[in-house]
Amino acid sequence: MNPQKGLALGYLRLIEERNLFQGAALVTDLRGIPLDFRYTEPISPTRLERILYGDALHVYIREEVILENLLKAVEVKPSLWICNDRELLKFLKEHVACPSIFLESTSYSPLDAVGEMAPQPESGAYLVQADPISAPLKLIVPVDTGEDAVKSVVSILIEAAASMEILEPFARIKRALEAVAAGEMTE
Amino acid sequence: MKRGFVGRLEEIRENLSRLFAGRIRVRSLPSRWAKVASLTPVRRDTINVERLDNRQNTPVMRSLAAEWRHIHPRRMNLALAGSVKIRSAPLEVHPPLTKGSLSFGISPTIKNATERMKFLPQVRGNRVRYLKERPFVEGSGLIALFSPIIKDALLREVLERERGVLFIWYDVSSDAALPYMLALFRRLDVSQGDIFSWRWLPGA
Repeated sequence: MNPQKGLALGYLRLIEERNLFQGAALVTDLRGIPLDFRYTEPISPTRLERILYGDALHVYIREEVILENLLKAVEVKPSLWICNDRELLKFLKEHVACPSIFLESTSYSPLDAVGEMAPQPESGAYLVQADPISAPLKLIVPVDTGEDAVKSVVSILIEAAASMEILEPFARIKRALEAVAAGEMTE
Repeated sequence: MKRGFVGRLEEIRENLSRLFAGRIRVRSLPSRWAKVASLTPVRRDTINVERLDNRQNTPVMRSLAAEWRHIHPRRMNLALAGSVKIRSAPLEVHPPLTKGSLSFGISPTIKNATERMKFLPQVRGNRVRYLKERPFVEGSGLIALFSPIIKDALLREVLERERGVLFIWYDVSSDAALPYMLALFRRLDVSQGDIFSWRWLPGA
C-alpha cells in the first residue's frame, strides 16, 4: 500500500501546559498519510506525586510515563523518529531501534542544493536542505551519531520532502489533540 | 476543650494514616478512651509523678497529652527523670500488614485514534518566496505555490485566505505517489470576475 518502499516517519510530540502533560505519536507514510496515531490522556500529577518525585517528576512523566508507553503502543514501526524537543533525543537513542532526530524549521535562506548540510556550532546540529523550495531545516542528531548515520537520515528526509511537508505532521498532531480535548475526535 | 482534644487526636490519626499509606491500620480511639483523654488536666505546673498513686497516675499521664503544648519540654524531662524508671526492651519489628499490593507510579491511558486521524487534512504553506525561478504564464502573476501535493490521491482542497494556507484531504486508499505543485495565478489583464486560476505544475 505504501508506495515509497515501506518507509515511514514517526513523529513524537509532548505537550506541557501548567500541570498537564500529554503526548502523541504519529506514524505516516512518505505522503503524510497516517499509518498509526496514539496519544495519552492528559496527565496531571497530584500534589503528593509532586512531593514524592520532586525534581525527577518532569523527566519521569515525559520519558517513563508518556514516551515509553507511546513507543510500546505504536504498532507501525517507523524508519525514523522525529521529535521537536531535543531533550528527548537521549531517551530515544536508548529506547528505539531506528534513528531518532530533532527537527525544526528555520528562517534561513535556502542552501545552494538539495542534500547540502551545513554543520552548526551546537554538537550534532546541522542545517539541511531537504527540498529546493523551502528554508533549510535544523537537524540535531544524538551525541556520538556517526557521519554515515547522519547521511542516512538526511537521505530519508530528502526522499520524504519530495512528497510531503516534513514538519507538517507536528501541527496535525496538535490539531488532533485539540479536537480530542474538545470531544470532536473519539474512536 | 473536650472537642478540641478529640479533634486533635483525629487529626493525628489522619496524618499517621496518610504517612503509612495504608500499610498499617490507624484506628480512632474508642469512645470510652476519648472520654478519659478529654478529662480536664489536674495541674498545669511541674508534675511530680512520685507522689501519684496508681489511681491518680492514669488521669495525670493522660492529661500530659492534653497539656502537651503548655508544658516546657525541659520542665517535663526533669520531672520524669526524677520519678520514672526507664527500662530498655528489644524493639520488635513486624512487617507491614498490607492487603493487596501497593502500586507506585503514574499510569497513562493510551488511545488509538488512527482512523480518525486519517480524516484530518494536511496543510501546505505558500512557498512562493523560496522559488528561484518563478513559472511564467502570460498575462498572469504567480501569487501562491503549494507543494508537494500528490495530485492523483487528492480528494479535496480548500484555500484558507486569511492565512494563505491550503488544506488538502487525501484518499488514504490511493497508491498514487507522484508529487506536484499547485500554483495560484492572478490574471493581470482583468480587474474583476474570475481573476484567479489554479495550475498543476510538475513536482520540484
